[in-house]
Amino acid sequence: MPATLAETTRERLFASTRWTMVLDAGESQTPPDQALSALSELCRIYWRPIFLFLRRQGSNPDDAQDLTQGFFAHLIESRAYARADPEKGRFRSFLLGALKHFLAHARAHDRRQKRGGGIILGQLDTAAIAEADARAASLQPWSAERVYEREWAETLLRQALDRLAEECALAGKDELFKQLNSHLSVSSEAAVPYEEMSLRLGRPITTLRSDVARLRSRYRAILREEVGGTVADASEVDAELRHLCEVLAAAD
Amino acid sequence: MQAQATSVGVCPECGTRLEGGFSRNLGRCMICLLRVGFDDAEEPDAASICSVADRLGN
Repeated sequence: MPATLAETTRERLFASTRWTMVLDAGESQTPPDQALSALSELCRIYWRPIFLFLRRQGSNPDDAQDLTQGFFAHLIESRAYARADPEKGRFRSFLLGALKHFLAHARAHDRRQKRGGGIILGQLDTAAIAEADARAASLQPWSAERVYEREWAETLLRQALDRLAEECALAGKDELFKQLNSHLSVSSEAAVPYEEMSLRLGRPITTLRSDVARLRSRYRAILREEVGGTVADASEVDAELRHLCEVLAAAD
Repeated sequence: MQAQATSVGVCPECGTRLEGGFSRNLGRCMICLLRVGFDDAEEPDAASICSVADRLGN
């Protein structure tokens, strides 16, 4: 279903403040329903790093799914998020710390509670589980923490690229996006030559250069909004991006 | 053409090894995608990222 402009604008505002809204809930500055909505959205986006961490730690696929669901239910029921420290508060770090605490006390949680995370996530998509599981198998040499952070980076990027694709589709430029999105990360002229794209799309090269510049600019803004939604302060966005780059560079 | 893994597994754009940073799902180097997110003045060069890997003994 295509989003309206108002929905897109709301999403943009919401995306950059999700974690802040959750943290504020601990100080009662944000209504509980809004905080719950923000936390639920964060969990919906970032379930894969949790699932893959659990798989890398040895859980079988069914247990990893149950524990992922149960962990999110526990987050809500225990209001653990309300005790997060805003001074140290990146959602990525908070979530992994909370998961480890949850696992350390896993025996206290019965099977029913494990399934309770469906309140947030609903039934996890079978295809998405299968895809995540296949990736878990390919990451065997890595520690669970590295798997978690690598998957975090990929989930973040997927979220940003999906939003960009949706915006382009909404503007009737989905075909242009398909042709140009390979240039998003290309600073050199090494991608598909503009001459070739010009012939393929029937657009002048100068127009294509402007299209790419606009697309990259919009992608940058969306990516920063998405990162901003996982840190306590907008000033931490660059540090979080740098951290993820370092993790990926070190992860081989 | 996107940043594909070369025979030696190095991103042709940022020069970092791709084993950890290349995403088959996204079809490109994730480090390159993340670097676009920096404000221009803040964008780290590839050398600084490589040095982190070297520091960590990878």
